[in-house]
Amino acid sequence: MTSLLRPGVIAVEARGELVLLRIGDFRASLEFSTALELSVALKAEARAAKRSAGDDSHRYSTMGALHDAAAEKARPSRFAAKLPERLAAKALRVTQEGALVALTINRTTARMPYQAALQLSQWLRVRGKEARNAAGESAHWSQIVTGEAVAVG
Amino acid sequence: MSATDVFENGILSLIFENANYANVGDATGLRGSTTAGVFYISLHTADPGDTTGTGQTQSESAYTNYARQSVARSTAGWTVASGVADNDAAISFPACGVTGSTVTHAAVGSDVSGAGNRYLNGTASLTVSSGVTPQFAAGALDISLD
Repeated sequence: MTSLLRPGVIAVEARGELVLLRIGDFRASLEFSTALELSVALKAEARAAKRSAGDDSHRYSTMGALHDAAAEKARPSRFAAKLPERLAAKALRVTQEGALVALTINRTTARMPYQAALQLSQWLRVRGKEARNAAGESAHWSQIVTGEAVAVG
Repeated sequence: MSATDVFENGILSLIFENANYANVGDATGLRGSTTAGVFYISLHTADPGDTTGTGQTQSESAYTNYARQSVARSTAGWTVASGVADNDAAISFPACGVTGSTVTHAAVGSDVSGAGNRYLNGTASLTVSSGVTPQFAAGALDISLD
């Protein structure tokens, strides 16, 4: 297994109905529902890693996705040639390894501290909700997530 | 000692939905405010930080026509699930007039204007120029308790 993670090189953005994930040189697109499932899996394993590290602290993390409501809404194509490979939830696994969280995509694994995993979880949830809105889906994110689509442990 | 999922949701629900958290102490638990009131959401041009500073006016945006926006402390204003509170409906700020600003953060506080009480803040980016109408779509303001 290879470590994909480099400090400061994780990015998540909404692109229409999809979510783009970049970890180092790796890029992939996810359905919004997959992004939300991955968010939940990361949070669960990150919290386990946090406990394993003996960190019992709790903190509020606030993140907002602002947009211009007056802007004309262009609807990006789901099939644009430049979008990276679309990942299915079954290609993903999240595992706690002591104080680290391992995110495996197909056969490649990125390991990160639990703090980074919690941050990535929130990014995925916020961008996943943005993509959900773009898709015209009104269900609350917690109703979309099954908690079983992404393998954990 | 870590908090359980139920406790996290109970605390978030008490704060954002003004819902009673039954069975804490008892008769019957932590009570919501007699007057639920609203939270006021503000936009900022730098991280207001965790210290009190100048309250909700700390680094607050001053683009032309800017005003804080209210969200009810109720289930009509927020949904709490899985340790996360998020807004139920879009939060729309006034369209920017002549003078814009670069928004980098947002905050949740108590007052429609002035220092008041700033409770929570985090990142939210948008370059606001003339004609831009900043908005958090439904669910786009996300407060997680980890």
